[in-house]
Amino acid sequence: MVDNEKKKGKAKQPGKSTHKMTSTPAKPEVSDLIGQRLRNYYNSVAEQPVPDRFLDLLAQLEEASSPKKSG
Amino acid sequence: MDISSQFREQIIAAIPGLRAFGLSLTSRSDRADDLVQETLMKAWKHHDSFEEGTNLKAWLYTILRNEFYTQLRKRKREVEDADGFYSSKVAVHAEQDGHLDMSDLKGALDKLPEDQREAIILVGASGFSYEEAAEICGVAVGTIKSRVNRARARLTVLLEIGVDEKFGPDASSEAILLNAHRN
Repeated sequence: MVDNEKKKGKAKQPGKSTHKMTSTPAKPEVSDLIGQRLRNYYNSVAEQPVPDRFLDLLAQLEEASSPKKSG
Repeated sequence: MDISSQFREQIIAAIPGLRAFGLSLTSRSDRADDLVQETLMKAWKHHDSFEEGTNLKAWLYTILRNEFYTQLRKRKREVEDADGFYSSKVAVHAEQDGHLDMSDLKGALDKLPEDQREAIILVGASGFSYEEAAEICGVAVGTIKSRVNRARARLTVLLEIGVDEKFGPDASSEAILLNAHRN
C-alpha cells in the first residue's frame, strides 16, 4: 500500500525523466537541510541570554555620555 | 549628547545575533565576543551617524563585519611578519581533518572563503534579505546571490549530504567492503 502511494506520487510529476534535476548544483531539499543546520548552529548562540559583560558595557557607555554626570 | 533608551534597547536586542554572526566569522567564541564589544563601543560612539528609521540591525552587523576584516588584515600581517607563510595555512588546516563529522557544520563553515561564509550566514541564518546582506557586505545583490549559491554547493559536498560513502570507511561502507571480500 505504501508502495502504491509512492508510485502515485511519482506518477504525478510531468514527464517520466528527472534527469534535468541533476544539473542543478543543490536540490531544494539539500538546501533546506543546509539551511536548517545553519540556523541550528546560529541559534545555538543567538538563543543564549545576553552576557552581563555587554549589559555592563552599555551601562558604562550610557553613564559616560550622560549629561547628568557630575564632575 | 542624548542617546535614546530605544536605541539602547534595540542594541541589546541585536546582541545575541551579533554574537552568532561573530562566531560564524571567527569560529572562536572569545574573538566573537571581542568583536561584539568593539561593535557596541563603535555603535555608541557613532550613534549620530545612524539614521533613525533605517535598519539598526543591519547597521550593527556592518560595523561588526568591518571590525572583523580590520582585525583579520592585522592578524594576517602579523603572521606574515612572523614566518612569511600565511597562504599555506588554509591548505594545511583543510587537510587536518580529512574525515568531517556529519554534524560538523562549524568545521565546514571554516573551510569556506570568508566572503561565501558571511553571505550564507547573513542570508541563511541571520534572516537578512539578499538586498540587506548586499548592503552589509558592500557588494551588489547579484554578488551575494552567487556567493550564497557557491557556499551552498560547497557545504553540500563538505557535509557529504547525499554522498555518504564518498569519503570512505564509515561503518556501513566497511560492512559492504567486508561482504565483497567474503565472496
